Amino acid sequence: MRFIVILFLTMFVAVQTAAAGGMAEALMVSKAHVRALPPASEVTSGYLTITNHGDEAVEIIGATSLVAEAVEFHEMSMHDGMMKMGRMDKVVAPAHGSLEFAPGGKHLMLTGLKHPLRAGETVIIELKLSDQSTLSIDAEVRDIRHQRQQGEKEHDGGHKSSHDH
Amino acid sequence: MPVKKLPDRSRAILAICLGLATGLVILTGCNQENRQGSTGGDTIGGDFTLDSTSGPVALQDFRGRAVLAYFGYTHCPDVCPTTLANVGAALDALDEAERAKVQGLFISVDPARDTVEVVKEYARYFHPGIIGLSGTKEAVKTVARDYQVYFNKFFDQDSEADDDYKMTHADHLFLIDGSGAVVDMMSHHTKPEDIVAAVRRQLR
Repeated sequence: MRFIVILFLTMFVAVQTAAAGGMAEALMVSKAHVRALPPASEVTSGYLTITNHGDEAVEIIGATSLVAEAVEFHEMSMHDGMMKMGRMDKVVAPAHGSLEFAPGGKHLMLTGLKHPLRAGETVIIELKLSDQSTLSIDAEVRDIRHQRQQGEKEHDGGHKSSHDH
Repeated sequence: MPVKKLPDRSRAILAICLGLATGLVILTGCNQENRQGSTGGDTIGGDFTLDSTSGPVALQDFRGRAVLAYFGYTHCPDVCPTTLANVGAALDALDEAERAKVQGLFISVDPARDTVEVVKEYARYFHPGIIGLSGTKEAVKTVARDYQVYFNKFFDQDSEADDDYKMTHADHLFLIDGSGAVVDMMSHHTKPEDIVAAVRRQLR
């Protein structure tokens, strides 16, 4: 029974990866990670860099994850010393360019976490592109305490559609 | 045409007078609002008392110590954790004797969702030397006004849930000296080593 379940899961993953054709082909994801935050926190943020090697700009129109009720694109901006978090309906990875989600700028906001995320865990985030193809990302959950020692920004934790952690 | 110009000049003088008067009123207003402030000249800061899981906590409790006070809220996953992690790293970088003279405070500007239990757990996660504070809406508003940490909440238009809102707020990490006066304002951009340097200047 267990074997069959694993077999089905494997097939499911294979189908998902296959579905990541279309526009997703041109994209490469790096530095994907999600923050481990205090258990009291029902939200967290995710960061990644999407590099588009294609000749066309790619629109990313949504994101989902099994660990959260919703995943939104947010951007922080400053107006007269006030921080403002704005939600974006879509984000664009420019042709032969990159789209960066980094602390203090754009971030993925994961709301309604199903369980507190622990450092070392891997969270799968699905990005939905405008041609309806999807891009599956493995994002490592990172503890941001003592970030200087761990080098939050230097690590390269995410790989496009890989499940070999 | 001197006759025509005179009223213009008068009007200009009147405008300047009005401007000065308005400025004076605003300045006076600020001073009154900060009547609790322990230093006469400062317009930002002042004593306050808020709630924690162990009862009321007042800024006055930390006289003689440097205080790192950050205003934020737990539903803020980007900037607030960055700042608190930096404060935590800064506290870790201090030696034991120095750390004994520094207190970290995390003050929630979202008391509706951030109970004292929630802010305690949240603040402790980043460093045991950070106390989480919350309070009534009025109490938090007063402290935020004294520190000029303007905040407001706005609702997600797509959502009908009452508690589904986001906040905007000023991003300030305050360094308060042993007399209760604000001596430095930092932000989420301030690196742990710079926080350490600012704290050490106060401890000297």
